[in-house]
Amino acid sequence: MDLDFSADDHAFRDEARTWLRENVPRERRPEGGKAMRDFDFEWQHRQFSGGWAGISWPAEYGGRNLSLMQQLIWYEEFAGAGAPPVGINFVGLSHAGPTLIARGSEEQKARHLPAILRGETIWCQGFSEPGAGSDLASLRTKAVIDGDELVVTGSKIWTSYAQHASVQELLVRTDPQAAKHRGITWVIGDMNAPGVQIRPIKNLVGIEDFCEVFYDDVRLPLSNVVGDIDNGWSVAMSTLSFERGTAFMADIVELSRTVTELVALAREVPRWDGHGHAYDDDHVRVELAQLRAEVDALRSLNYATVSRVRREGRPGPEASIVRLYYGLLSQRIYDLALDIAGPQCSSAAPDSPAARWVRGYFNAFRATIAAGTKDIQRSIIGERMLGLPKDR
Amino acid sequence: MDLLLSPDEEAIVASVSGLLTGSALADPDASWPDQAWKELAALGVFGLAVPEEHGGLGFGVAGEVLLFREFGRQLVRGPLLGTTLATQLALDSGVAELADVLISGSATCGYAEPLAGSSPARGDLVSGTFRVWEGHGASLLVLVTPQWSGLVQADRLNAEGLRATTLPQTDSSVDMAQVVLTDVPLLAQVPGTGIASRAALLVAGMQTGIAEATLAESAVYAVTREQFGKPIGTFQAVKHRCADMAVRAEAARFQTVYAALAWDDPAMRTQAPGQVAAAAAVAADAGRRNSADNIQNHGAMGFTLEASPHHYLRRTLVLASLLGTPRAALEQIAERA
Repeated sequence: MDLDFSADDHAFRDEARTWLRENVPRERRPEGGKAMRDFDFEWQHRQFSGGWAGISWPAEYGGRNLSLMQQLIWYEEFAGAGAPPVGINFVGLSHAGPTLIARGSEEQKARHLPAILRGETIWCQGFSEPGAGSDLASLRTKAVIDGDELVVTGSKIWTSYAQHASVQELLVRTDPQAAKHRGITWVIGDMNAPGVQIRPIKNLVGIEDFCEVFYDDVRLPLSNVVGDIDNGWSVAMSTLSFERGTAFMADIVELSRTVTELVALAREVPRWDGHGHAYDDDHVRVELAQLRAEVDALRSLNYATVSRVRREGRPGPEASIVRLYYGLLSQRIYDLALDIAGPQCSSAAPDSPAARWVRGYFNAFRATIAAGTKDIQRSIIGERMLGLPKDR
Repeated sequence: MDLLLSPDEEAIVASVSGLLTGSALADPDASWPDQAWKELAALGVFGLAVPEEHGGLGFGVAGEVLLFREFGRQLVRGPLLGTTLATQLALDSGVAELADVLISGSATCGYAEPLAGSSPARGDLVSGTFRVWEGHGASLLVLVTPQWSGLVQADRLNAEGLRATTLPQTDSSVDMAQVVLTDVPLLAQVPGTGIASRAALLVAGMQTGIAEATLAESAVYAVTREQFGKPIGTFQAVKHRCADMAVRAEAARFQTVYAALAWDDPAMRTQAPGQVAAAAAVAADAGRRNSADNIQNHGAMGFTLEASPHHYLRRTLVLASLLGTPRAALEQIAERA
C-alpha cells in the first residue's frame, strides 16, 4: 500500500495543469441545441490540437497511451480546472472508439477513429429499447440480411444526443431463434440513412438530451458489422473491459466541489426558522460533515478500483460498489441542498442560485438509473462479489 | 499509488491472523491468555509501525491499521490499543527503553481517556477522572486527550493516587473501568492531537474489521439458510441488504487505508487529520450498521446469545463510545470546512 507517484507523474501533473489552465473554455457550456454541439466540438478539437484527445487510446490510433496513473492525474486535473465534460463526444471517445480498437476491422478503425479524436463525428448508443432496459439482452430490434446489406426494423430509446449524432453503435437481433444473449449483432448505424426517425425526449430536468429512435427498413452495409454476425453480445461486453475507474475520478472531484459549494450556500442562506444561517443548524452542519466524509471515502474507493485494474487488468465486480456509492451519495447531497436552500426551491427563477440545486436534485436521479440501476448494481455485488445465488 | 496489500503486508497479516484464529485472545469466554499475548508480541505486532532503527518492523501506521482490522474481524481482546499507542508515545517523548519493554510484550498498557465532561489537570503530575479500556492487569495507562497524551504507571491500582472502579460491561469480553487519578506522576507526555488521531485510526481499523466480518457471516448464512425452498440470499431483499453491507465495508476499508497512508506521508501532513476523521466517521457507521444488518439477516437466531452476531454488535458499540463518539469526528470535519 502506498500513495507514491513517480517524478514523471509529478511532472506530468504540472504539464496537464498548465495546459488546462490556459485552454479550458471560460464560457459556460450551453445546455442544448446547436450552441451546445458547437461548444463540445470546439472543446474536443482544442484538446485534440493540444495532444490530449484519446489519452487512454493506443498511440497507433492517434491516442496518447497514458499509463493508468497519468490517466488518473489527467482526470483529477481536468475536473479540478473546471473543464467542461466531453459531452456529445462521450460515446465516441469512451465507448464506440475503444470497441472499434478492440474488435473493429482495420478499415473500420481507419475510417472512424481519427474523426472521433478530432471531434468531427458524433456517436450515439443504440442499446436500450422500450422493452429492453435492465434486461438488455431481451432486445428485439431486428435486422435481416439482404444481399450485402442488413435491413433494420424496430426502435431504440434513451439514446443520448441521437439528434446530433451521425453514427451509432447499434445492437440488433439477427437470429430470433437463438438464446437471448446469442443472435445479437453489433453494427455501425448511420443516423442519416433513410428510414431513421428521431424523437427527442425531455428528461426530468427539462432538457432534450436523449431520444427515441425508430428504424423502418433501414439499410446498412454488412461491412458495418463489428465482430461477427450473431456475436454482438460479446462485442458489447468487451466495452466493459475498458472501464478503468480513471475517468470516474472527474465525477468524484466534481462531487467534492459540490459539497464545498453546498457548505458555502449553508453559510449564506437563512436557517429554516429565519434565524441565523443554515450552517448554524446542528442537523445541517453534521450532515454536511458526514457527506464530506463519504465523498472522501468515495475517492478512496475509486483509488482502490484503479489499484485493482493496475494489478489484475480489470476492475472486478467491486466497480459496482463505486457506482452505487456515487449514485446514492450524490442524491443525498442534493437532497440536503433542497433542505438548505429552503422555500425558494419551489419557485426558483431559471438563473437564480436555487435553480442550480433544484436542477441538480432532479439530475441526480440519473445516477442510480443509467448504465445499470442501483438494483442491478446491488445484484451484481451480491452475486459476483459475495457469491449469492442468481435471482433471475 | 496502490491501496491493495503488498506481499510483505499480506504475509504479516496472514501470520497474525493465523496466530489469532482459535486463540483464547479471540475467544470472548476464555480467561486471559498470557502466553498468547507473548506470542502475539513475538510477531512484532507492538512495534509494527515503529521504524526498524528503533526496534520495530517499519510498516508504518498503514500496516498497523491492517492489524487492527484483523483484531476487529476476530474480536480480539486485551490492551491492544493502549499498548500500541504507548509504544509510539514513549518513542515520541524520547523514552526508548520503555518502548522496548512494550514492543517485547513484557509490559502492557491500558487505554484511558477523560470521562466526558471532565478535564484533567496536568503538570508533572496529573489528576482527573478517566474511562479506561482494557486496563485490567496492565502495568501502564496511556492517557489520551484531545490536547495532550501521557503515560502513567498503573500496576499499583487503588494505591498511590489511582482509584479504579470496574464498570458494568455491555461487551463482557472487554474490561471497562473508571479510574480517578490524584497527583499521579507522568512518566512521559506529548502535546497535541497526534496520539488521539492515531487512536481514531486504529479504532477505524477495528470497526472496518467488524464491518467485514459481519458481511462475511451474513453472506455465508444467506447461502446456507433455506426458506421457501431456496437459499435466502436468492431473494433480493436479503441479497441487496448484503450488497449494502459490502459497500459500507469497502468504503470503511479503503478510507481507513487511505487515511493511514496520508498519516505516514510527510507531504500530506495538512490533509491527514481530515482524512482520519472521515475514516473514523465512515468506519463507525459501517461497523454499527453492518452488525445490525447481520442480526437481521440471521432472523431469530440473530436475536439470541447463542449465535455470534451479538458479539460484533456489542464490540462495535464499545468502540463507538471511545474518542468522543463518531460525532466528535464529524465536528472535526465541520470545523475544517
